[in-house]
Amino acid sequence: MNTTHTRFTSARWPIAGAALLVLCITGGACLFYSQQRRLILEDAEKELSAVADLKVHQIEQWRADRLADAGVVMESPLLVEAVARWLAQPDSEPIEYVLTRFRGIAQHKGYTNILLLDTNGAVRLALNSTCVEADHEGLALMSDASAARTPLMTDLHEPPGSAVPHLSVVAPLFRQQGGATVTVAAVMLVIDPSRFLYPLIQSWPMPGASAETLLVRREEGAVLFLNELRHRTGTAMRLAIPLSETNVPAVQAVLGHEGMFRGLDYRGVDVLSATRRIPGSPWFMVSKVDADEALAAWQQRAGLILGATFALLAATLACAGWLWQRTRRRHFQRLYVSESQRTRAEQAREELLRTLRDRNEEMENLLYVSSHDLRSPLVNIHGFSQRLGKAATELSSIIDSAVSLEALRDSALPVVRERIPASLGYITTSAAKMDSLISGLLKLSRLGRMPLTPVELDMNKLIASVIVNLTHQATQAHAAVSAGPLPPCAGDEAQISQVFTNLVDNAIKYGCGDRRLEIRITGRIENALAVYCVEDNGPGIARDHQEGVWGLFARLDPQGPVAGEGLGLTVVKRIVQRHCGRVWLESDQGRGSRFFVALPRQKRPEGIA
Amino acid sequence: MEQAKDFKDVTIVLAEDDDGHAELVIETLKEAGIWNEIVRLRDGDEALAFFFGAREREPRYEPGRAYLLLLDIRMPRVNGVQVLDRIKNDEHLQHMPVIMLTTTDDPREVERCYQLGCNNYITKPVAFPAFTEALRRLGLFLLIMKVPRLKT
Repeated sequence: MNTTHTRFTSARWPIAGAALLVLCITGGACLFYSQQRRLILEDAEKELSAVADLKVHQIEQWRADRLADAGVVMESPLLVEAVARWLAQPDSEPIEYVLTRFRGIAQHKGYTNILLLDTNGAVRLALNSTCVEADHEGLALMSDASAARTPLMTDLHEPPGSAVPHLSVVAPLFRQQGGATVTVAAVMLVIDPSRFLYPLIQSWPMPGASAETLLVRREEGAVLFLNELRHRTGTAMRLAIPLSETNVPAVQAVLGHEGMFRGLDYRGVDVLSATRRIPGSPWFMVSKVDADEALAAWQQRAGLILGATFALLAATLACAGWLWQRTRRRHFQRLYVSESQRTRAEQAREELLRTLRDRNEEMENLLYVSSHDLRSPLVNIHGFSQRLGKAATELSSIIDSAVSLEALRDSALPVVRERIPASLGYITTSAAKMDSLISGLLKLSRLGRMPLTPVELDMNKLIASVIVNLTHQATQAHAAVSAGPLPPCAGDEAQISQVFTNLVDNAIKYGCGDRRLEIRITGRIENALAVYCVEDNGPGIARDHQEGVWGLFARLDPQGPVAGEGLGLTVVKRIVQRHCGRVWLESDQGRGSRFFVALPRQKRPEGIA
Repeated sequence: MEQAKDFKDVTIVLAEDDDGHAELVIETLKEAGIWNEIVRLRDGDEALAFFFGAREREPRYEPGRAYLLLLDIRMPRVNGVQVLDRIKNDEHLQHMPVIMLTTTDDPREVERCYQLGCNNYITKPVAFPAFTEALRRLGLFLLIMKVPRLKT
């Protein structure tokens, strides 16, 4: 009896132990599970908030930039004067100047149209004459803008007779007249949101299948969606959801909720969202992601936790069973722990991106290029001036707190000897760079204004004198320059000579390293054109760079040994284009380049543009 | 897609031809609390070599690590838009976040970069406080960004 009793109790403890362990494991797993879920949700919230904040800031900035453009128009006395004069006498001259200014602003700042309105709100001038009607929203703002003497922006709206949403900035123009400020006219800059605003809203900075940002505003008891949505088309300015549907994040946004919100989106799908108001505008921003996607990582983790829990439970039971069986000394049995399988669903999203469109012609980009190139050193000048300021503050606190001359010397020296000279170095280099850019621009602009006097040119004579003028450089580079018999053409002697001087000079400058440099100028006749070719056996130009060499301030290797301002080929192209000719190049890297210049053979009777 | 465990493990690649800008960007990012390893490349050619060059060439990206590219547009030889185009058309690199950091706010350029799939577009304002503010925001944003490891 005694042995039976012992056997009975000892057979029980593994079961009790196992039951306790099972309880612990299950409890632990539940805790871990909910904590992981919270972490993932917090992560998703952080991401949504960060994206919303970033976009709100960018939209604010974009609005400020557009108003600043209008500000520039308002504060151009020449423009205001020209407009006033023209409105008074519509047949007078300054209209061309006004149009040129408008064209420049439209092209470089991306406006689809610019309208000039008189004080009665009638359109007097439209840059893009296919659309000459001013919209009501813009007209309604005119008097406000004029009273406040500041540019104002309309909301997004559909203009009459068009289904394409747009918005515009109204800039009133003022003039001093007899001591009083008088409104002369107003300029309306028309913006196509699909060019910048929509892509800005629609792009999501991280890869994801369902995340998107929306721009919405409140309109008559509903929330109106202002952009095209990721999951549904034809929604911009069309889709509206009544404010009574308070579980929609966009509704929450216009009701003033700022922060996180979980609800159902326009598709009725469960989403996590962050909502923000865009300061200074009637717009609200919603950034959202499907709860399914946000929680996908959690679901995967949950699967793992579940699997691990089962494995642990199975192991516990197996151990308990094994112990139990061992105590009973009946039979051994092995349990095989089943393996949980992780399935991985991988979605292959292939995005076909459109191929590169041809870049705009370099002269069209003159403003853009020069503004970038001038801005770049300006950033340095500002930035390093600020650093100089910091260094000065630091020096003054070093001086204030120095206990001895030694200590002063030790802490002040690195600032004075290294940091200040380094900052000054950047500032001086940047200033010099701006100077050379500005002289380059002046040179180009002078070139554009220089009159062309085309004559019949004996190219054999002209090229011979180009070669003579470059003898010194050629001798120094050990280069042989030769020319074949060349057909005549029509052109301005000084400028055509400049073209070939630049081409030959470039070939000499870029040299060819170890082998002897040979430059050959040949010519042939093709229909109405004389085609000349400047061929060298120099280093050649890689295919990737060939298009870029004609660009303004383009230089293959700015840090390299060759000096220059990156203007040579731009000038060549500019001159040849003014002669109604064409330039292009063929090159094999490492073997040499051929620059072609095609010029008209005969003077055009109406003169060359 | 496997993601870097911590933003600290992400290597920031800065393709910027202007030494002054590079120094200002790095310094400002540090002030914003971004102490990651930063690889500085001087132009588009170096950027292409870094991502597409021969394996034994240095410096080159290591598959399996996470990278984030800050890309200037106007650079000599190959410009940033060309680099962006190559990266977003490459199956190994297309998920790497690319942030355009440039002085140009030309809408055509911005439009083009968004079309090619850039993840963000930040203009360097001329005024320094605005410049640091833009970078500080970028820094805050980077800290919470999920950056995928590049495929091996």
